[in-house]
Amino acid sequence: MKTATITKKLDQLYEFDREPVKEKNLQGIGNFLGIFAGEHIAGTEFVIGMLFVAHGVSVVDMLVGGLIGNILAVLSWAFITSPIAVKVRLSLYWHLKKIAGPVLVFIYNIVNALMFCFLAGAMVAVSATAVGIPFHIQMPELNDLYPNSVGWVITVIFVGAVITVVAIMGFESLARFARVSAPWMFLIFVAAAIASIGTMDVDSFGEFWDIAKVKIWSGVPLEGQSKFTMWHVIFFTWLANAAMHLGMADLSLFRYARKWQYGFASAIGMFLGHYVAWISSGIIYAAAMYNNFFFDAPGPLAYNIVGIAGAVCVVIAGWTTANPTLYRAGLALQVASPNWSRWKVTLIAGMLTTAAALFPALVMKLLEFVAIYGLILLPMGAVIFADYYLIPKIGLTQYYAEKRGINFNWAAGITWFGLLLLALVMNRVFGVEVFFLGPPVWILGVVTYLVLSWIYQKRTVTLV
Amino acid sequence: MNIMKLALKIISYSGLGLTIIPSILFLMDKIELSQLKLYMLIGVFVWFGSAVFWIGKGKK
Repeated sequence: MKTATITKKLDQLYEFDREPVKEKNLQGIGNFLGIFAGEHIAGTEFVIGMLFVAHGVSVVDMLVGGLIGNILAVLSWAFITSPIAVKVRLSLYWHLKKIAGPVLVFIYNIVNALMFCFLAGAMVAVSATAVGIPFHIQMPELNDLYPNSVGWVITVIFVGAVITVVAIMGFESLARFARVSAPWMFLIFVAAAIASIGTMDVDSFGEFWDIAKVKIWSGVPLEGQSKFTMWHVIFFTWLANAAMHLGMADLSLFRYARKWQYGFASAIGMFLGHYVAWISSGIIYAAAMYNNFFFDAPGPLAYNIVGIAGAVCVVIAGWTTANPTLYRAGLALQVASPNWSRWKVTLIAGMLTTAAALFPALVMKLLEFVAIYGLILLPMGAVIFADYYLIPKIGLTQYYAEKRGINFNWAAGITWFGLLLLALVMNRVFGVEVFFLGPPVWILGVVTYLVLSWIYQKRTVTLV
Repeated sequence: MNIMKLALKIISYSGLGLTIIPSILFLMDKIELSQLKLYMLIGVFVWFGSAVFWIGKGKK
């Protein structure tokens, strides 16, 4: 009864997109370019480029590794996510429900909601580093994991409360504001980087390259930071949005695409946001250190080089990207309390987000968090891939949960939980860094789901 | 495109110009850092004061 109730409520929640997207609702390439350009120039980009510098990435690692990683990310969207999306044209929720059953989708949604809250928390924290500037609050430093001052706590709670209230009052107006902000934010990143180079006694490109090698991406990690190689840059860049491409969350987005080739639209977000913006924030951070300005928080760094415009950019970049993330968290959380109104769920999501933002670890360990976030959702992407392309080829039943009326597809469940356990063992026992676990987990996810489905489907058919 | 919208767009793009060009001038030692910060702040007002009236306007 309880499962039936949850299923019914969940279905009501996602009622509006129960059917495959119709021809008349398909969108042109411009929409996808706009979405990717807007969503991937986020507040967190200020932090990621900075952290690469802190982890001692060399200039070649950064430029070449970032290029390779971003190409791999674009190819993942174009060849893995969007082809399935344009053929099935269902949101992730409905697609996964057909395969895994309503109970497993319920668990997936809760996990997803928590991940979204943490991600939004990182963005709130980024904004708070700029809001706190006029009040001279003590900013978190690179090795801080816990709140380091009362001022920080008050600022984060204030920013979190404002973002939550605005989100409750209306996501759409802020979503439009985000569209307005995107081109300007990108130029602030670039302008701040150019101005930063201007503070480093550079008179020619040759001099810049020399400074870049020695003072920006020196190859030497800062104290307390692990050393990153080109492999780290490639894998991190590739998998920064793993939940979206290999994890298939963007099935919900690309189901509106006219052609699967629209997956290549992701290139604009990757190369503006995850390449130019990361390189820019690395330059800003290194130039500040070069000029003896030792801050690890994006707000003061941006304010230092381009003044109020920089601080405003950090606030807006954090805020506008926390907004849709908070919306998605609220939507995913609503499955746990289907009778609650949207504002109550958003309030809960906002409170979780704000609580998470209090911990500077979320920002200072953002690279690790982003990698874990992708990793947690990757196995279910592998399940979707295997179910779509391979399950019919080996004579098994596609969309097994739907066709057999199963609430919990154990083959998908064991694939998900088993691979996360395996990833934990690989990380804790064998010391494999979290950045490198994504691809093997995804490939093993495909194989494991096929094997388990073969056993599970034969067994359930026999039992019936 | 009507004249009003065209004018708004021109104003907006000049706001973006005020965001990026000062950094290039600063790199070339043509302006001081304090001037760069001022021009970029003006760019904030010009961009947001005009772009909100045409970007995403009238679309769902």
